[in-house]
Amino acid sequence: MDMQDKEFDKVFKSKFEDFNVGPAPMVWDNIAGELDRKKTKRAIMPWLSIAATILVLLTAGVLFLKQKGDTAVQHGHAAKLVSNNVGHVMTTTPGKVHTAPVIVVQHSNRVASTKAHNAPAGTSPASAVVPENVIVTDNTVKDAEPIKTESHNITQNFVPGKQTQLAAKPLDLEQQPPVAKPVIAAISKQDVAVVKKHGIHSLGGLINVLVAKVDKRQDKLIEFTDNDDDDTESSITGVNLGIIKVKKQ
Amino acid sequence: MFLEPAYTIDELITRCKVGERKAQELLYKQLASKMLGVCMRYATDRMEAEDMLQNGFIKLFNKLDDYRGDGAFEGWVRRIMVHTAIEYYRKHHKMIQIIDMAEISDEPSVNPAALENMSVKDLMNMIQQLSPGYRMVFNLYAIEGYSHKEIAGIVGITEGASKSQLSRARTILKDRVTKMEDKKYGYAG
Repeated sequence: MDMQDKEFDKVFKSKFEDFNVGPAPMVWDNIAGELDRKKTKRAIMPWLSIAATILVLLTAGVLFLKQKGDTAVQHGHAAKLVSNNVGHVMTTTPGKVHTAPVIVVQHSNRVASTKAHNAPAGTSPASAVVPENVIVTDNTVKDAEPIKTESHNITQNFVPGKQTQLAAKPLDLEQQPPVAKPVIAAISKQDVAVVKKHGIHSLGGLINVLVAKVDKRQDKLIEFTDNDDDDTESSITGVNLGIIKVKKQ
Repeated sequence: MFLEPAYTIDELITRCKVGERKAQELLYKQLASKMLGVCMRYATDRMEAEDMLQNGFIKLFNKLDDYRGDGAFEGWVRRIMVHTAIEYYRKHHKMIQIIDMAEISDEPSVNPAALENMSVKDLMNMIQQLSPGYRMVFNLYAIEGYSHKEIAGIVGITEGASKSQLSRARTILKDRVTKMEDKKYGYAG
């Protein structure tokens, strides 16, 4: 007597309906252990994330300053330094400035638009570092008038004696210690804009973008996974401290 | 006999949701034997089955918030176990496509009474000896009651492959049932 496939399946199904096998006690121990492990991980993770974020931001700030410190620093920052120093130069050598024929033109608090590389070396460092549109707010420098001409014109028109006196008070921006606060504030502002562009999925992704902004190396200071899977939390995929490099694929 | 305080399954679920370890253990104890019975059918041996059971329960406790109380809880747990078994199969047997044993040319005919008389243990052995792909499809179709379309979706094969694997699995099982029957009565085969 033969049997249809359906009946054949049915017999198997009914035979296994109430099939029970007691598992080894070890199985529950493993489950409990795994549940404990996940619990601890969940409790620690938020704090780890916060600590990592702070570390990254601090290090990012330091790296950023290191890179930028050599060159132009920051507009606002430079302007501040320059305006202070210009004021200083002007007030300490008032006679010379007043008598300099070309500098004084009109009543206005604007100091002029000259650039560092335009100024011949060793001539007028004060004017050389003045960026565009710097507003001198110090009241003691009312007499500082706009310098309309390019810096080489200034040097042409300067009386040699006065030039040397001005030059005697060089503005050495590079020696000024960079101020941390404004720079870091600037980074965060820029990065908020970038964040939207990249479609960041998690805290890890956000940190990646922040780090990439500052750390231009191929292996970043710290790298996180960036996925929007709710089940998994961001984990570190790479660390680069210069001498110590760890990278997970 | 000292009894654990008796909880209804709903009470246990509620307490498990807040992560109460004792409640989790009680829930596990209520369901583990039955679920290991399910896992055994998908595994090659008991060790593999206990692996699946373990993974399945960890998943269950992590996903318990998803259970809204609609439908039987046991059915929900069973589905988690089956899906865990499928995941296990994918992870461990993905590339293995064994052509099962010697070709069986004729469709073996099975005596229904002989099949009815076989022990669950013997049937389990037969299923466990199938190659993982055949075993998976036979379990899902014949015992769990999924359609070929559903199987194609969850296992990641075509409907045609599901059908042909089921047919091959049945042929092999029938062949073995017949052979066991013959052995019992002293036939040469």
